[in-house]
Amino acid sequence: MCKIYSLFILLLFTFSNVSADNKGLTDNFTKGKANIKSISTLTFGPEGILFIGDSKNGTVVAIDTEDKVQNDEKKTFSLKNVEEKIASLLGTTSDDVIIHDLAVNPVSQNLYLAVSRGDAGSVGAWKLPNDINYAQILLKINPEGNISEVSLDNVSHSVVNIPSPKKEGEQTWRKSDKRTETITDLAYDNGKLYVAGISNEEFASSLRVLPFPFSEESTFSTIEIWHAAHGKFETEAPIRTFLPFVIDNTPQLLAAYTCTPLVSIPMSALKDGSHIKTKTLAELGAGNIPLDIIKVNASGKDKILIANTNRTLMSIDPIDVAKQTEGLTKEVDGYSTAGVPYISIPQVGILQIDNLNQDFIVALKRMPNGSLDIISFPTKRI
Amino acid sequence: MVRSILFPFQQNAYKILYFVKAVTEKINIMAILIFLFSGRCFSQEMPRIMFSEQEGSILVDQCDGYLLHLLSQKKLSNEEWHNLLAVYVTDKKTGEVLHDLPMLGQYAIANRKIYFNPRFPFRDGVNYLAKFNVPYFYALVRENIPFFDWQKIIEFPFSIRRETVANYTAVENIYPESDTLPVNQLKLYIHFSNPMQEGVAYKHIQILDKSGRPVDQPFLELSPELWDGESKRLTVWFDPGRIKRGLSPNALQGLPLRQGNSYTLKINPDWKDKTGLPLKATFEKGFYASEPDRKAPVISNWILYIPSRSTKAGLSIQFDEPMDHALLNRMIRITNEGKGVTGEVKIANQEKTWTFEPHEPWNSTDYQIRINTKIEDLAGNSLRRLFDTPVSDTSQGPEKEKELIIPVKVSAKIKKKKVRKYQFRTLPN
Repeated sequence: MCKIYSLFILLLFTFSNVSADNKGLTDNFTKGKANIKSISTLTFGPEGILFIGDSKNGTVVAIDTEDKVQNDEKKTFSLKNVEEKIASLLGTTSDDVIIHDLAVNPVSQNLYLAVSRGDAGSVGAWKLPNDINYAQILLKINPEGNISEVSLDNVSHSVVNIPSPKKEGEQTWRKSDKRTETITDLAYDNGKLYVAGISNEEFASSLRVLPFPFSEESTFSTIEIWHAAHGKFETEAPIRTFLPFVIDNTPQLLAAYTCTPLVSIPMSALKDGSHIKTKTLAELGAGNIPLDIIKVNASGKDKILIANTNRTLMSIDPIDVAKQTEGLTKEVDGYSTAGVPYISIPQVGILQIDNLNQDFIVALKRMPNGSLDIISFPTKRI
Repeated sequence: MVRSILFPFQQNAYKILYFVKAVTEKINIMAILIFLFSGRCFSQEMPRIMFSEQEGSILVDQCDGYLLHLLSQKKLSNEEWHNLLAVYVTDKKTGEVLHDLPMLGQYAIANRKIYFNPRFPFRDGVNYLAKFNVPYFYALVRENIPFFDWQKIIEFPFSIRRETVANYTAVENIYPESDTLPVNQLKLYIHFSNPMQEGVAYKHIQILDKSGRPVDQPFLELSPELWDGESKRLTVWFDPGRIKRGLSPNALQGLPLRQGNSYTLKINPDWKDKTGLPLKATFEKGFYASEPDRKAPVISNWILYIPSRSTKAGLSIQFDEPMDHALLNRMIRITNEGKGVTGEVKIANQEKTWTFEPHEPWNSTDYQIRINTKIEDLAGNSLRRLFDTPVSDTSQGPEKEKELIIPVKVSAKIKKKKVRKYQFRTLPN
């Protein structure tokens, strides 16, 4: 009897633990219409939770996609003429389709796209989709290539305001409203959501750290970099894309900027109100916007992959990052590169990348024939 | 073949055809009899797909009302709706569906019709095919698929002309509304029905003279452009440097407009809205440039229309000249014992009349009209200063904001009177 009783207690304990864990992430979520004005950037957290950075509203919204069926397959993925297919969904032609971001749900391997219907012809080498339009459509593509809309009208979600969203009405050098750069990228790591973008502070470039599940707490730091290609310190331009990464047992953020410095920021420095002078690890070459950065496990070794507007896909070895003990301090001329070396992966026109599964990376690629395809390629070739 | 011959006589022919077909296919005669006696066979018309220009949507009418009622009770999934009624983009040459992906949109049942409202308006230049699955419609509301099954899926190929579709973006209004503007007119407000693409406005707005030639650079091409938060209202400034006398652009180029000339403000329909669609049509507003306005509004010439107590009738101010539309909307408020009165503002009479309709009846006697002295006429002359005079010595720091307070006594009688009593008050910072 005593045994049964203790078993019962044990079971109860186990169950309560499990339910507490499950509850933990979504217990402050509410069901209803998610007020989203611009799906500026996407990233996945655990358990199929999708974070949407909304620059226009100055918020981050966590969505419970309920897309939680584990998919451990290691298959390739391919979908041709994505713009044309989305155009059919939107009742138009492909010159009206703008894809703003792509993120893979690591649980299900479903792809999520932030999309708008607008003048795609305005997107150019220096004009990113968020400069042109506010994305308001969230699409899901399953491993079979079926496209469907993820309605945000009645979803379980949680919203948080980010500190100091850039006020509207000022213009970037690319002639878009600076508000569109309030959130340029998001990354989830270990219970925290990192939000890059610009703010109203004197040093506009900022990183906000929001504990997740969201609460009133947040930290706000401004970021300064040595921009080697420009030969000066900069505080205004936002981080374009970044990645949490542990280098030498120190959790860091590796962040890439337009024209194209790569810097490291120790997570421990992200204290509220701090102004952080970063270490410039590399100058990856001027005349370019880095679009996406991911960590890839290639044949048992971690690699850092960076997709660019005007340069090839780059692969960086974290060992080389660790070797870069001193940051760059001198100007780098022209289109030269300096600091941490990289390998040019023979892939151009890669607009978005993400890990698909253990063996494959998925990418949104502008093909030589002009069509926009989603392709995959094996991690072992990185 | 039989179907195609009979098709022109559809209204009666298909009913006969149902019957003949049913018999020839030896379907249970009892079912036919039951159906005949149910009265539906000969009262039923075939559902029909149409494009509604008014709503910019696809609709299916002539469905059985009772069955529609049953359908409206069900909560259909997206997939079920798509199976029932779907719109596809088709190849222009072959008419074939391009991708088997139904357009995104919302479905509704109303007025005995099924509606498909596309997520974005249909675009002209694109060919579409709407499909309505009749047997599926019956299957959704009944257990048995009806035995008449000819033309199982009704197809409706269509394309649209943007000039005729109601929900295409259009210029709703341009302020000032008057067709006579002072030659030193300062601002224009262009109101669109949907959010517009920003950053390209000056490519698409022109002022044409009588012979159709564009006036050279009449506007101050501000960057960023002056849009409201929704990207639906654009403020356009005539170049103030050319309007203000004594400044070098004025001396070199003169006013953007010439007194006594007629002009057309033209908005190019290639200007796209936020969804990438061009405007519905060219928009033109003709106007005549009259003598310059270099006088401030004269408060003592304003007329008040004071409503009677206990009513919710409007309180109006009739100005002595047309006023700036945007400022009229936000620079005037009504108070009672220091507290704001809530209500709706209406502007009429080519921006000469401002009317306030309160949400609650006028129950007090004493109200105040409070007008920020920044309110302007069409040429930018405010209650504080004339636009076209040198700015006074600014060494004292910026001028403090003021408001004009006009007391209003509400009584049992409606009153019309000139503004006699008023005072100015400096607003706190």
